[in-house]
Amino acid sequence: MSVEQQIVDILKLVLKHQDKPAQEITLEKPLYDDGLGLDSLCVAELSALLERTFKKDPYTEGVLPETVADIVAFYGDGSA
Amino acid sequence: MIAGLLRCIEADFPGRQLIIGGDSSWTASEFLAETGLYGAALAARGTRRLAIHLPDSPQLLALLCGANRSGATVCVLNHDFEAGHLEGLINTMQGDLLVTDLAGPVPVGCPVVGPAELRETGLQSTALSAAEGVDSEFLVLTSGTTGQPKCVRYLWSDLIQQVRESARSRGTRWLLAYHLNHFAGIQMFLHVLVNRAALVVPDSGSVSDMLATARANEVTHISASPTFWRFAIAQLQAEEQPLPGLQQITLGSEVVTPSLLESLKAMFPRVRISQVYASTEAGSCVSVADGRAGLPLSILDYNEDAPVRFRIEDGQLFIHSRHGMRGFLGDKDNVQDEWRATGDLVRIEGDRVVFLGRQTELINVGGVKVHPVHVEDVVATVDGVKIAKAYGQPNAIMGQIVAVDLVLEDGADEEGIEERVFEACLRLDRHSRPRLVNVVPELDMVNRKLVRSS
Repeated sequence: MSVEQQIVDILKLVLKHQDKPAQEITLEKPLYDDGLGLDSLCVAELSALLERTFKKDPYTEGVLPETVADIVAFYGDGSA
Repeated sequence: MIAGLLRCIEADFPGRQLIIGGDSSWTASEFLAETGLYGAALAARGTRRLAIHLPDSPQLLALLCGANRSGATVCVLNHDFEAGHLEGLINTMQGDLLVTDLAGPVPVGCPVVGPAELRETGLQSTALSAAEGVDSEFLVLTSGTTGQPKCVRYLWSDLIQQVRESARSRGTRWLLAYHLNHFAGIQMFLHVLVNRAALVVPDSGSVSDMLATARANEVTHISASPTFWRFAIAQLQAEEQPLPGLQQITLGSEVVTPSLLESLKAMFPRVRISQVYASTEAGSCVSVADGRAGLPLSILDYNEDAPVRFRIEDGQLFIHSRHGMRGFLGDKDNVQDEWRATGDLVRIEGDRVVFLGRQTELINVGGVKVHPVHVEDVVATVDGVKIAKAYGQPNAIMGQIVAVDLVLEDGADEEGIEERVFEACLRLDRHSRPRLVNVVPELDMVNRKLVRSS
């Protein structure tokens, strides 16, 4: 499975756990507010799940991704 | 002191088994003779501070009582500790003799002897004399489920005075389901002596073996931690073999949740269920048998003459006990008769004082305090979950998030368990919901309680 697909699956899981409606997740989708609407608890879970899957995550490394594409870019091609 | 108790039992119930173990089962008279051998051996060696590192057994009990008969201070070390771990503990309690079943050299700064060799010394020694009956010191190491153990000082008389005499307990048969290095294990033993009951000492620490021992020896009473009972419920359901002679279940040492009480009531509808509140430092404080989690609010109204009093300060339970510990080893001061913080967080709900968990176990999710026991109680309701532990996982966004490690019941399907746990936890507030769920083969235990230091 591609890194992008794994990240999309994790985001779907986070939204589901927060009882948020399923929505289309595209690369350019903003993560917060008017985008996917992730709040701090959602981001905490996203950070933990990314770390578990890829052994590192952008938030712990001090990077604040704005969009889905930013997360994908953080992992680049080879880190997963 | 102990010899006096044993002589009373001997007179009241001659010929009845008092200590029942796999290898040795003794009447009060036989047990008294064994304690005399060990006492004589310790007196002959001039032992003043005895450290015992043996598995739970009738022999360990005889040695403990022998120490009291010789006037020696005694401390039982956790038998799970390996040789390299013992030196620090023996230094802490300033032991001058270690009795252990470890083979080979043990790197400690005091003489080391095996139990058989010590007993042999007793056979060749003159009988105990004037020192017998001295109210000697008993040292208990705290369980260390949340950190390094501390050494608590008691006198045997303190421990005996904490035991409540009950006519209902006469002639009953208890299973030793706490380790003897644990305060609750010692209390169990003394409860049996004071109440003229009998104690069944299991050979094995596995819950399955202990239940089989209870069944084989027609145990009537079992006092154990909620963790033990969660395993026991799963085991009894899997075996489909009940405990037909069981008359009483006692719970203590950890928070008792409503769901556990309901499970026990469903499995043992005719069995009396009681809960004991005790701590290593304060001793045995109160017990209730009303089938409800927590303690009645009336405990806060006990008057100044009561042996134990309670109050709540900033959500924490404080205790004033006349028969609590004398102090921590190394402290010269006697702290008996002082108010002490318990570290147990409580909340008043209606007419109950409800336990929320230990202060040290709180998970801080972005400033919101989460009590792991409440999360575990919900996770434990998920089909296939045998036992769960909730804890704080460091997190860059919230400081901590709730994570859960869980052990599945034998044969349970791991597929989809994570989602089932998440779904069940939707009833919790958002901060309390687990964000990570890990299936693990087992959870660390100390004295059959979950270790919560991770």
